[in-house]
Amino acid sequence: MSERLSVAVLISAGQHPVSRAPRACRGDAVAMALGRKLAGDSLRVVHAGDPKSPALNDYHALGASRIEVVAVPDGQDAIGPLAAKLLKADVILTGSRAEQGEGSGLLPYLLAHALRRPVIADVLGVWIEKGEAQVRQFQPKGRRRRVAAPVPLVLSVHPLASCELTYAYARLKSGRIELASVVAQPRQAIRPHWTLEPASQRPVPLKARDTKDGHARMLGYIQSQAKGGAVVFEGSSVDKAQILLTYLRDHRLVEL
Amino acid sequence: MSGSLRRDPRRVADAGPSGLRRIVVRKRDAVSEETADKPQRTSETPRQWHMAVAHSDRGSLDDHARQAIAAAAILAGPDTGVLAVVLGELNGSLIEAGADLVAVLPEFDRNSFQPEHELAAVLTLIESYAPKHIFLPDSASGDGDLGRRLGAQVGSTAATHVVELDADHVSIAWSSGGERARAPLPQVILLAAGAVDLDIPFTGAGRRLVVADLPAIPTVKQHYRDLGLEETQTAAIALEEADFIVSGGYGVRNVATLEALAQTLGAAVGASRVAVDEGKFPRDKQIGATGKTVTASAYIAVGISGAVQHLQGIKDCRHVIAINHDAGAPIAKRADLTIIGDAEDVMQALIARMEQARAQREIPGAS
Repeated sequence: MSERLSVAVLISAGQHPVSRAPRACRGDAVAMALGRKLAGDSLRVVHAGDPKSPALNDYHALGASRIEVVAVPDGQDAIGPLAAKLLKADVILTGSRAEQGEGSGLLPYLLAHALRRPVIADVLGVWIEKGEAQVRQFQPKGRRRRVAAPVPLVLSVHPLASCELTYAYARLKSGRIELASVVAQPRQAIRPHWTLEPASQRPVPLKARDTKDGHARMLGYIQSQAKGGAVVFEGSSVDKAQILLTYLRDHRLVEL
Repeated sequence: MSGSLRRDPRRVADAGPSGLRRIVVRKRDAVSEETADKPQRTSETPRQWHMAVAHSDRGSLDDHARQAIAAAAILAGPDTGVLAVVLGELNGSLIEAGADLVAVLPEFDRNSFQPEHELAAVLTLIESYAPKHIFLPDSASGDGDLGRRLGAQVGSTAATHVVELDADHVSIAWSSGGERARAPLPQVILLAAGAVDLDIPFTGAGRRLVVADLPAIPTVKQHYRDLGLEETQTAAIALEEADFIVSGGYGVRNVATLEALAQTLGAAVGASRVAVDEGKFPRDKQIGATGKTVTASAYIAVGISGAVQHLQGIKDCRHVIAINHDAGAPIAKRADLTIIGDAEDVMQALIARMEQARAQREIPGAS
């Protein structure tokens, strides 16, 4: 079954957070490794953006022998051309967010909406059986969830997905880039109009305007907020244990 | 009006303790100040709405979710109401959080995966209230996912990982930091944790919508099949990720009892610096400034006095319970419940009581 399945992974040009050196986006490289597990060498690797980006070399080295590039000029909507390109792909894998630009993590959702397919985020592993994808999904607090959805679908891969990334210089040298023609598409998503500024200071949290007068404000500074909850002195240790257990139960922290 | 009070330099003044003349801006009795309730944000009938959507956790909203409601309330004008949509059960009210209207949808839970139903429900509410902005916490437990689905669906602008916002703009980190990008407020706003100060000087009306008030939610075909959460060994989870931690300090004489308690509660084991230095616990269990920072929902501190460095490490814990000999220890100020007594005895009693409760529950027919 999995031989006939068409799996595609979307990759983006990454950037080192400190040196700004172009590199493979770590999340996308993980998604590509997961895709190779699923489809082997038949995995389609698709990039929307600059075909001359030096970051693509890294993907060659990490195992992408052929990269299909949809040359979308900078700042233009990539969803329409990508959706047209990936109509035939059964499983579309993406990283969780890009390292350059907005990095909103919205692309898999917009793409899935454009293709009218289900989308599952935070994927740690995927198995495909009888036209249904079973997914292991990341949840915070060390929990993992299993979800199933019918193929075709879009999966955005969590950076913690287990995979092996092996870098080979020979593959970097032998990799090829294929330019795909861009078909003009109607704009799918309306993006906010971002203007860049240097991040010179820390972001300021939104705070409600203080309507208190100076006297009340001054009192607020000198009076310590006597937080702290109930203190239990009385009773035997069994009573105290009961109080503790009741607290845990009331806040649904233990299941009995 | 600039908002600041003009002071009359010739007005009556009080005599301070050292005989100095002290001017009091507005004289009032201290008692009413202590108990003075916060005023309601607005008394006008709302003509438009701000919406905040979040999943509840065990019947309450966490700080990140409350930040979304606070943002909606702070940015709302006097004629704008704040509608809080809570997915999952909710105990208590959201008056303090600043919500004017609360729609609770208990059929959704953060533990279950049904994004299409959730999306349909939220879209129905959006249709009937037409909110100007929708605020969600950008968290990994469902809200970030729902917000992005909403952003893709609504066909309008959405900003994610918003680190800074005010009435005119939202800011995000551009290219993973280094630069920042700003834009006018989009329709869907996913807030990063800490983008909003939770200390708000007003309350909301907090009226809860009953089922009859809620618009009918259309049934949609569900493509996803939720196969449930995996069983995880709590002891195997990294301390930073653990949801329940039992932590031992200098006051713990018998580490085996503490470990047995953790086993019974299904909790991870942590320790304070003193206990680690004594060799009772390995270094990787240390919680605090030089150790790990934890974000558990429940944190039981056994025999820990609560030095500042330790409290720093448990800053983000939701429920802190202390078992300690000394009622004057600083941990009592931080803890939501402090049990004064011998740690060993209380731990033993708690283990026995837990096992007893479990055994009672296991009897068939007992609910």
